Amino acid sequence: MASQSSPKLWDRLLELYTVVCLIDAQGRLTAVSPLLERVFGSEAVGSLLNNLFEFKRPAGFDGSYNAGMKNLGQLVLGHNSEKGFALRGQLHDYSSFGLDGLCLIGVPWLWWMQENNPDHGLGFSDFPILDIQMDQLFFASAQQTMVADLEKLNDQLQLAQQKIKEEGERRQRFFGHVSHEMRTPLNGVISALTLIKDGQFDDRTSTFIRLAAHSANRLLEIINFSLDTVNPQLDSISEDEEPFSMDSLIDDCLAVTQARALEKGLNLHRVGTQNFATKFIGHPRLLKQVLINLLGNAVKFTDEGDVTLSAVAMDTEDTDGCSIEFRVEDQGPGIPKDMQRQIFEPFATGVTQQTQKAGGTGLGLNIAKRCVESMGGHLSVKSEQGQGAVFRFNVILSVLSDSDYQQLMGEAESQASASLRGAVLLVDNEEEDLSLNEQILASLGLAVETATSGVGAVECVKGKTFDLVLMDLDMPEMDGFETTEAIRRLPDRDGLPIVALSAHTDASTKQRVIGAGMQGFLEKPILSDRLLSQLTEWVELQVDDPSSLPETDDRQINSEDPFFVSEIIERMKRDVGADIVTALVAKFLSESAVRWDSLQTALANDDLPVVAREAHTLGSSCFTFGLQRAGSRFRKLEAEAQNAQALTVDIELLAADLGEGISGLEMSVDGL
Amino acid sequence: MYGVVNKSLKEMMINQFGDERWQKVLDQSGVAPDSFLSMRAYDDDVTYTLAQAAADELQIDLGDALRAFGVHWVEHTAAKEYGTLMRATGGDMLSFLENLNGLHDRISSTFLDYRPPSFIVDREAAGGVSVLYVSERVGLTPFVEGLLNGLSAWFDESMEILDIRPEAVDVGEKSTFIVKML
Repeated sequence: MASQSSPKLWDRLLELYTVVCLIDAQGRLTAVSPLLERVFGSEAVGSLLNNLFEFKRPAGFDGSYNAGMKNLGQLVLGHNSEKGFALRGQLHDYSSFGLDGLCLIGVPWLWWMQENNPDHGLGFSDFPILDIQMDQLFFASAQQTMVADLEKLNDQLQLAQQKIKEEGERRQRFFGHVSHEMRTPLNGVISALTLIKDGQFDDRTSTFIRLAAHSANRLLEIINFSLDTVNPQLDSISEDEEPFSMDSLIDDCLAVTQARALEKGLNLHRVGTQNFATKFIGHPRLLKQVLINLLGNAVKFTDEGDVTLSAVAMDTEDTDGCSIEFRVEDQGPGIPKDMQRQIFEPFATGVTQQTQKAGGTGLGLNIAKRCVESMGGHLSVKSEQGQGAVFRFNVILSVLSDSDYQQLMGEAESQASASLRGAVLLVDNEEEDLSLNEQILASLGLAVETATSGVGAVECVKGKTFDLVLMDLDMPEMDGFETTEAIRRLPDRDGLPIVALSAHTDASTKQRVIGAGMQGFLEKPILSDRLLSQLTEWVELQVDDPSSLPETDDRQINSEDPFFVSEIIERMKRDVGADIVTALVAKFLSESAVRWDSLQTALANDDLPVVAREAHTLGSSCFTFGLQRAGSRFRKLEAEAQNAQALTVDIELLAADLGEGISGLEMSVDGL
Repeated sequence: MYGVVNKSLKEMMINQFGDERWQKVLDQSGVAPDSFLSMRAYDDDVTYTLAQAAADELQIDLGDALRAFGVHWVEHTAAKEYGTLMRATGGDMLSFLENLNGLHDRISSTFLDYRPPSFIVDREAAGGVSVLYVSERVGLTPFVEGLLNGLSAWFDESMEILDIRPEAVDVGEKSTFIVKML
């Protein structure tokens, strides 16, 4: 139906739009485009527009002429649900161009029809070429496809990730299993070496035994680290808290590092640590491991200058604890910024030429970091290339009063001189382990019987009374759990203490042990120095020599310290070699003689500054070479001289302690 | 060609012949195992190489492989992924083919690397309906033959291709299909 009033304009509009209609003042349709005629039929002509469409926009437009004239130029959205047709367009007044009435021009509203009448049957020709709805339709289809692609890719990635994770876990289990299997025979090697190391051997054999023990322990450290890494539940670095003297601990750490520092001509300083008179309870082994590691690295990477260990007590809100910040500062080549995070990763050594030159397992800083973290602290580094490095960490330690410390140390010493009494059944299918552990237990005074299987163990327990059963968990046929169950079923054996023995140290194994009705857990290899305290819960402790209990008089502090600690020299030999140690000791002996004379003169002249200086130097050297008791006396003399106090240190006793220490030192060093 | 083509070929091989044979096609073609992105343009050689490798693997003529692919393209890819667009393009096969250039023109305005073929339908041609296919690509006439068969099936129409008349051209390919609607 063409408009009669202005056919040219009407035709022009039909070229541009497919939905066109003309509305007269009464709201009747006077002309519609062919598309509308096709959809609605010729009866649309003359119908009121508001009978054909419900309008969504513009608000207030109801298809009437008057409402339309008020909304010229507005977007019109309307639909007819019955026919499944919708339009979008604009209202115009072309009366000045000869087209009488209100003109609605537009196109089918594609999106409404897609939603409400997907089978609308409209094609490309029903949309003007410039209308964007068909382009939008293609774009929407393309986008849908792209989303589907991405979802598929995402699924594939998740699947791949899952596969990688499963493979990683499988490898970890395998690696963990292999590490564990390696640890078992290695434990045998270490136990055997422990048992024979105190025997009488010539120097060459002793050296080889020490070398074998050192290498085996180092290998065990790496295996334990590997097990820790693959199984975060393993808690091999956790240990019981012990009382300790911070001063002695720091001295020990410095002593270990001193030899190499002297060899390289470095100055090893301690700053602010003299004020640690306080005793603590905590994890001295972990702390020592961290400090020795950091000091060792500092000395390793510094070619000239100073290495400084400082420890400062910080304020803390915890009234029972003391927060101590440790800093180890060196004047080495420094660590580039981009490597400062990497160095705490395992096996980070070799990332630079410098670290390659220095060697090492590459585990040291990672272990140090984990030790610090297991004590609740945080290890960090600050460094500029070419300007050295500062490693810093802090730990909170529980403070011990002097009396508590003395009491705890007394208990520990009394245990060291004690033995055990009781009958023990040792159950293990591994003959080597059985033999070694039998000897260790026997050496502690225990009567030991052995069984090589679960069945054998049950038979033994039936016929005899034991104070304790040490039960290996991993046995063929009848494992430790089943054997325990069988023993518990025997009459009067439900209270028999059974302690598990295993190299599996994970939390789940320990939980199973408790769940199976065993009273405790001992990690393999069983170490004689810890076994005493571990077994006293179940077997009787005998103190062999009560007179060896520590004294509590004023001389107690000095008598705690041995005259000479041979392990320090042995460690030095391992670190730098026997020849260098011999040369260093010779130098110490000649210099200390000179300084001793100088000290005597200063004492005679009451020259306290010189007394303090010489006492400091002699004290430090004594600690370096393991002369602990003399070192402690020099330290006390230094403090008194520094504070201009009356000197209470007995110089004759000091001379005697020094002489005893030097005798021990000379005996431990060949070729002097 | 866009990834959707390669993706469709992969889908056809896997659906009809299994993962292992598609893997062999990849190995044979040297094309890296890829999750083709539908709307990413890939080098034409990738598609040609895959098609040839698929024909080799199935031990069929390349033309037969392309014909099968044409049918699969309509039935499993175009109809599923672009069904709305296909319906908007035409209500029957001939209308669809008549509007296809319009659809391609619109796609070209969005995807600038798009190089579509063109189709000219003459319903009054001698001997039936002629569909002229012109492309700047070579060797895809069998694929178009498959497309026509696929389209007639999708629109539920019976059709017979009476003749295919290739014409020599300097660039690309030009073929006329004489079709009889049954």
